[in-house]
Amino acid sequence: MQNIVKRFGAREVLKGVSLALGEGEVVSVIGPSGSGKSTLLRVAALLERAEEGGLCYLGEAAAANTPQGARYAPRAALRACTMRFGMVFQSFELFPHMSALENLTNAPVHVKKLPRDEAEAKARELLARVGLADREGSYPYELSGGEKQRVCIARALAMEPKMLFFDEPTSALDPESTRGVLDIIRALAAEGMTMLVVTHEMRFARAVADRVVFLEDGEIVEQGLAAQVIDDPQNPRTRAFLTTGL
Amino acid sequence: MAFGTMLLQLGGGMLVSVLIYVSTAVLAVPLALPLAFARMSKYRALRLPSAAYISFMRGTPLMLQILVVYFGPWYLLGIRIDFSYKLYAVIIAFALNYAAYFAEIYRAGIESIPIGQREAAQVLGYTKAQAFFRIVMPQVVKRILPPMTNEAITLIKDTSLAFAIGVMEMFTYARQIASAQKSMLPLAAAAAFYYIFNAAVAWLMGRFEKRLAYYR
Repeated sequence: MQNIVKRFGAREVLKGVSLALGEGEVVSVIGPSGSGKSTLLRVAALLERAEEGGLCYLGEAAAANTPQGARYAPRAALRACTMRFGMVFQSFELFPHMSALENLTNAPVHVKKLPRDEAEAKARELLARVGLADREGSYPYELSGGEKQRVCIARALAMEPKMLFFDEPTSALDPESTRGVLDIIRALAAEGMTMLVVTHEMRFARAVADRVVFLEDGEIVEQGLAAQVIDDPQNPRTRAFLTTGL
Repeated sequence: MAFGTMLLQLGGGMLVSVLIYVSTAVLAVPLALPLAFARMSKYRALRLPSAAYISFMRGTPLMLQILVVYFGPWYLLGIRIDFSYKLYAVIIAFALNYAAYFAEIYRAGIESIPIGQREAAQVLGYTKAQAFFRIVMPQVVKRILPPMTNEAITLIKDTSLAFAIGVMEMFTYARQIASAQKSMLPLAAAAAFYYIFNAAVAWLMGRFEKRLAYYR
C-alpha cells in the first residue's frame, strides 16, 4: 500500500498512507476513533476505493499509483487480489441462513469450485481448530459473540488466504470471548500467517504484533517495534493516546 | 335456476379468476426483480424511469389500467382488437400493476439486508451475482413473505375488476345470477369462494414461513 489518499467528499480521511507487510509479519494499527484505521483496512480489503495511491498483493497489482490518481485494475484482477487475503469483521457478518459448517464451505464450493466433501473435511478441521468442532450444525443466531467471531476467522481461513485483515475483531466481545479470539490470532501468528490487525487491545498488540503503527488524523504518526511504540512512544501524540485511560 | 346450474356457472368463472391469479403471479414475481434493481440503480437513466413507472402504476386505478391495456392498441395504434385479446389484456394489466407493488417490496427487503453481508461475500471472492443469489436473496425471501402474503390475498379479490372489459370471471357471473334470480345466494357463494381461496393462500404462505424459520 503506497501513498493512499482517501476522501469522503471534501474530507480527507487518509492523507497519503504507505504500509507494507512482510511475509509472516503481524502489524497492528492503533489510534483514536476517527483516525482512519478502519478506512485504511477497508481500502486494503478493496471494499473502499482510494482516490490516490497504489495497492499490491504479493506481486499482483490492484491499483497503480499514477499522477492522475489511483488507477484500479479490471474486475478480474481485483478478484485475483481478493483471493489472496481474508477479512474478519467487527460485526462478524456470518451468513445467518447457513449453519457454521455451510458458512465455511459455501465460498470454497462456489467460488473455488472445490468438491463438497473436500470442502467439508477442511471446514471440520478448521472448526476443530477454533474449538467449535461440536457446533458445525449450529446457526449463527445460536452462537455467542465469541463463537461467531471464531467461525468468522475459520471462514476466512477456509479460502486459504495468504494474509488476514482484522477490523477490531474483539470490540464487540466480552473479556473472556476476547481472550479466546486473541488466542486464535496468536496461534496464527505463531504459524507465520501475515496479518494486519486494527485493534484497541494494547496488551495484545504489544504481545503479538511485530510492528505497531499509530495512525492519527489520516497519517501514520509513529511506527516501530510493538514494545517500543507502546512502552516508550516518541511522538507526543502517541504518548497522549497511550496514557489516556490506561 | 337450479342450485347445481348456478354452481356450475360460478365454477366456470372461478377457473377464469384462478387463471388470472396464477398468470399474474407467474409474470409479476420475476418482472418485479429487474424493476426493483432499476429503482435502486446508481444510474439516473434507470432509476428515474423505474420510479416513475412504479409511481404511475400505484397512483392510478387498476380498472383504468385494464381499460388502457385493452383499448389502447386500437385508440393509440389503430390495431383492430380481437375479442380473444380480452383475457390477455386483463392478465397483462394485472402483471404490470402488481409488478410495481412487488418491486417496492423487493426493494425494501434487499435494502434491509446489512451491507456487511455483501462485503463479507465480496471479500470471500463471490461475484456480485453470486453474492446476490447465494447470500442476499435467501435472506430477502424470508423477510418479504409477510408483505407478499398481503399482496397474494389482495390479488384474488382484485380479479373481480376484470368485469370492466367483460371478462367473465367468477364475480361477474355471481352478480348476473344474483340480479336475474333476485337472490343473495350467488353473492354468498362468491364470498365463500374468495374466503376459502385466501384461507388456502394464507395457510400455504404460513407453511413457507415456517420452513424458513430455521434461522433468525
